[in-house]
Amino acid sequence: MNRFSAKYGPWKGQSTTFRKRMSTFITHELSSILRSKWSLLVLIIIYALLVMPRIFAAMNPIIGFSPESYYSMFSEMHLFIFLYAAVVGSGIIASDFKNKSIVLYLTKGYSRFGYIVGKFAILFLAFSLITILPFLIIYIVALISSDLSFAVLKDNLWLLGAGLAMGTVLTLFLCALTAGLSALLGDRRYTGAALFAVMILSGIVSDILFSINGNEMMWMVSLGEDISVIGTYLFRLDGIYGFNRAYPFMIIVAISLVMAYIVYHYIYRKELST
Amino acid sequence: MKVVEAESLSKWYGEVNGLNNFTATIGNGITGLVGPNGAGKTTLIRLLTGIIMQGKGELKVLGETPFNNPRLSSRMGYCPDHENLYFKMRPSTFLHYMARLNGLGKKECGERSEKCLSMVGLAGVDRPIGTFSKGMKQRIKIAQALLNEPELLILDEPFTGVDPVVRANLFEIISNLAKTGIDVIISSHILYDIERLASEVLLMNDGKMLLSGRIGDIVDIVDENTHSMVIKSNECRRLGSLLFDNGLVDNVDIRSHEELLVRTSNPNELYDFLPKAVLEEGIGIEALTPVDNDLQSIFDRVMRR
Repeated sequence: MNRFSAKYGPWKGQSTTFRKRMSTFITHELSSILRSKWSLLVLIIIYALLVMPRIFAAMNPIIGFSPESYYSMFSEMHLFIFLYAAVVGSGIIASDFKNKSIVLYLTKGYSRFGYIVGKFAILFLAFSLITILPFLIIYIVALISSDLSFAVLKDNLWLLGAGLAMGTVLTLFLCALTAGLSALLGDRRYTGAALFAVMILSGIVSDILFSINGNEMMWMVSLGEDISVIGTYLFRLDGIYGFNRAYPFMIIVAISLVMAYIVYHYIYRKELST
Repeated sequence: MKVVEAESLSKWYGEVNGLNNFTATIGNGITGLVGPNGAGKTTLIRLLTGIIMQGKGELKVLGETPFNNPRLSSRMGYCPDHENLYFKMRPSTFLHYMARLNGLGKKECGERSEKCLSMVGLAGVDRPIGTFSKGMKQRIKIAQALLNEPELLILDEPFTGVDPVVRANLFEIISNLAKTGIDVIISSHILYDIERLASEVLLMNDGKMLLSGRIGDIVDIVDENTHSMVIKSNECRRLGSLLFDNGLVDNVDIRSHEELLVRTSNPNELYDFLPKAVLEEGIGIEALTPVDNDLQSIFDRVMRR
């Protein structure tokens, strides 16, 4: 039975910094998420159907710096974004609960706060691939196509800010919604279905309510519409809405905060079923 | 130095009482937590590792409060009772990742992972963890708990479901660890597992501590009873007659083709003999499970004293 060739010996090395440990955690999780064939498939579909045509179109400077073009890109992406979120992010916390790997993190010198920050960072980076990154690619292509003129850049700098702001709002909202539902439901399939349901049902309910009483405020029930309204504001487009365009933004912020609280509650307060 | 100080510790899961006014002190060396299922052992371990927070009472582990305390976590190693491993990973990749999470530098990770794998007898094993046997999974769980040079190692039911050979191997590993100065807390519902390892033992039942003290004193009480255990084997008849012929059991009941129930007054000798039966006689033994009724009768006896 001499199978144990080594005796226990204490490790004498130095611990790496918390930043490096967090980077290991994020990199590992992110790469395992993005290596999934379904994630890659959805990513390829989004880029092939929505991003690539716009990259080619952006070679025409008139379209390349058209706020309407960027606005429509973000608007058309809604359904795909939720599909991507369902595929990529639904297990972000649910899987850790289900296979109890959260215990490994919490007993390896990670605080609960560190765990939550790490998970949000993973989602933010994963979602940025279909929100912020496509915008940046299209903007850079448009810039290159316009002979890299400083005057053009100066004239359209606001558009860069608007696109980054739109991408960031959308990404943060998706992160909070996905993480919140994942923690709440504790199952990646339910979370994926719930993400779709939230997106589609809110649109259906909004349409029904609007058709009943004709009040445009009912549009705000639709999350997709809320994001679109924020888009019209950021890209300085005229929106004919019968309500203040700050309201949808407030709705999105409120939902994000509720979802962030749910994550906090499940990680800090609720018994971890370990 | 006191490793654990618990004062009036209580923990409720809704209306279910996990731990009830538990007060205990755990010192250096190997300490066993023994109790039947539902005694509160796992709840206590979850509290010690900071996975959950107590409802009432005070708890200090290595002088610090454990809940949400990453600094303390990095001084401890925890081997959970469930198999929360990354099944698609290979052992070296898994330990490398765990070592990185523990804060080891890139260069040290490989060396340390290999060392810990060798220590538990898994060096050179290169296949996904999902294909591992129960005993191999137990060993890799212990390996991941050792990566960070823990001052305190907490093992939750490490012997559950392992065969006698692996059991003997795990005894050896844990004993060697204790010799290097690591404090170990180990839970089991099998008193005789603890007897061979621990110097001190806490007997728990219904979320309370019944008794604590030197293992010899506790075993003296227990030895007044006979013990039953279920053995799963591929050769029940041969094993049964072998045990009987060697005078190791008082009674053998072959319950099915793969399962036999034995009663013994010499559990120590029986535990010693089983690995030999596997290695020398070539009898396959899948699992060894003490019948909880025995433990319950021990607790009843302790309660009456």
